[in-house]
Amino acid sequence: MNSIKLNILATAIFCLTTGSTIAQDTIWINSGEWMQSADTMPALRFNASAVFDTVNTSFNIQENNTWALTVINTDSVAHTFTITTSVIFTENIPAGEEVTFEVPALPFGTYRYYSSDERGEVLGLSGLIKVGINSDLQFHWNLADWMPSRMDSAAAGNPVDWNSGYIPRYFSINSHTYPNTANDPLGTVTMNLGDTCIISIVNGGFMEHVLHFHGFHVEILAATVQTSRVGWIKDTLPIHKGEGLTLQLVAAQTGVYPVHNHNLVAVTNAGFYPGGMLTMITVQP
Amino acid sequence: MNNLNQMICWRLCCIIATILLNSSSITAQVLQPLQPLPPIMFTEMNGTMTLDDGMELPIWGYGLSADGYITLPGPLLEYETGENVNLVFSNPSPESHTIHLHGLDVNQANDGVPTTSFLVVTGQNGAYNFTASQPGTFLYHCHVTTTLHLTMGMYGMILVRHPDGTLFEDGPTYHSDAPLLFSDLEIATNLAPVQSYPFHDIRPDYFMINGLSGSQLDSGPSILSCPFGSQLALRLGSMAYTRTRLIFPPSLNATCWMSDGRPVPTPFSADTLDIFPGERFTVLISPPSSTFDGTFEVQYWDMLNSQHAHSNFIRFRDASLSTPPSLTPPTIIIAPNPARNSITIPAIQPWTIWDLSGRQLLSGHSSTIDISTLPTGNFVLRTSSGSSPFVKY
Repeated sequence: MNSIKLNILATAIFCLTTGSTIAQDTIWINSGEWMQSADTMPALRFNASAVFDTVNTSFNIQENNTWALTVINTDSVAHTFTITTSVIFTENIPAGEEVTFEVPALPFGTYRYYSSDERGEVLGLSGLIKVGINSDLQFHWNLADWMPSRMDSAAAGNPVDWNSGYIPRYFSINSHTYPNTANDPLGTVTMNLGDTCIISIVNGGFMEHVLHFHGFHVEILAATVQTSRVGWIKDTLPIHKGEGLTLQLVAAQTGVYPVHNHNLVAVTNAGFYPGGMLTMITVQP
Repeated sequence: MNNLNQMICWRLCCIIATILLNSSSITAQVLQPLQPLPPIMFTEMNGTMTLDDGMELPIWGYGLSADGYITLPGPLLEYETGENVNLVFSNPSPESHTIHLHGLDVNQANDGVPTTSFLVVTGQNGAYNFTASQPGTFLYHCHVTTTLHLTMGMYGMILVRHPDGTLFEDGPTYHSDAPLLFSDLEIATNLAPVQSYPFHDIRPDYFMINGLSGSQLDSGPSILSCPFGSQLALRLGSMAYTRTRLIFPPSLNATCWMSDGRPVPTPFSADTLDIFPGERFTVLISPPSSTFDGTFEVQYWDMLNSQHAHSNFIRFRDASLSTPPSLTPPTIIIAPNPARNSITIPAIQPWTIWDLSGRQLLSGHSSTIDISTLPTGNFVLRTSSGSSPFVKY
């Protein structure tokens, strides 16, 4: 117990100095609530402390290095820490327990980590790992889609009916929906003319997403599913379920430009436009 | 009216329209009356389209003022690489609209996003100025309440050609272009757009290629052709709510060269190609023989559940098997022209008269048309078989 408290303290200090993007070795599975418009939804998150935060924590680690991680599960059911690459890495985390394990080395890119337990998946246990990204200017977008009725059912302990109609009501970037996405320090791209930044994206949702950049084309540096597209320069990028993309953006002109899902049902909040998966890129002179 | 008269009349219409839209340019336009003038786009919310089963469906959309009517998709906008474009946009419709130039990386002022650029409100004109700096396939659409305005039909394709007949600098040569814009709509939304909330639950149930579906694709300009030994450039873009999947017979040697207005690093065989909403690709295909006459499939896949929702088929054959399309657009013979009190058209038929801002002013069903109530100016008469400009003096 004492070691857990020390970990909480160390993590809290680390978070204060780095925001929520951390390279730490302990995370918590916390339960809480996520509020959007008129809906309050049960939520599970991977957090950097024992205090529930609606934003899943992200990791920034060096490429091709193994990595020791402790996961503390405060939920009432077992979860996993899973990474799907060309192989599946998964560790079971029993309810109320703490497990330490070694994460295998990963090549350069962006990866999704998640709980493969269906309650964990539906309630939002899905984060992002950046590997080998050393840029001073980097942002990340953890994409998700949410259906409140399915979340309520899963939170009540019911098995998820994956064959029932899926109609998500919210679409988020780093657990924020527009207009709150525009105030997200981890995801709102702000840069100066001529700067180059790296944008890491994972699709932690249950459907395919496709992001369109206004004002810019970006280069695909790495992809975990669409590997043949590395090196392509595009303005509209599909992200398959579970996929990680790593993009390079050069700020070639000044101004404020939207980036949004071009499956336009996903730029809504509870059916109202604009909302959802929409954020802004600001390039200053 | 002979072709020369038609051309003069069209140029006159363009000149006068430009003068009306920009009074500061009167002197320049009068001194250079025969210089090519940019087309004027307009938007309306009172159009209709005919579905494959004959049903008439309300649409919103874009059109060229010279035509006087909107279409789904809107008119193909064609430019050359490096061209400086002044796209004039007139909005006589009851709501505000914009033109977002999707993929052209224009600056913020010309981006067509209401909150960061400008709205063109009812009764006003706007202009988008940009350089078509990259060759390739691009799109345009309204960015006002985008989820609704797109499914209603407010979109089109932009084609920027490289000037030497290649796809891009040092790229492959090709015979001709075939723009294919994939889209879909939810019929209930188009029938009752005001009641279409919530927008997160739009479920497309009609699937199109260039606004056509099913048997509508079996004839006329929807049939693609190209001479054996040469390549047809398919300009592919999606404004759908579904993922589009093209399946080419291997014998067509479909090869993808570009995506989103940029060459791909390594051209690749594209026998199966997925196109997500907003994406574009350029694919070269060629008939495998001088007698080839076949089809390729366009599938539409639900983005929510990855289920196959619909298929359309495009016919492609060797050019020797196709009748070349007429180069002269359908027109209506109007006499006299110019006219003061009345004009006549060849037969009793339904007609509408539009001004150059896209406003419908008169309609009727006759061969003699009373135009005495029109002000002096230039107008477009439209029937089901075509349209023609005329002058009221």
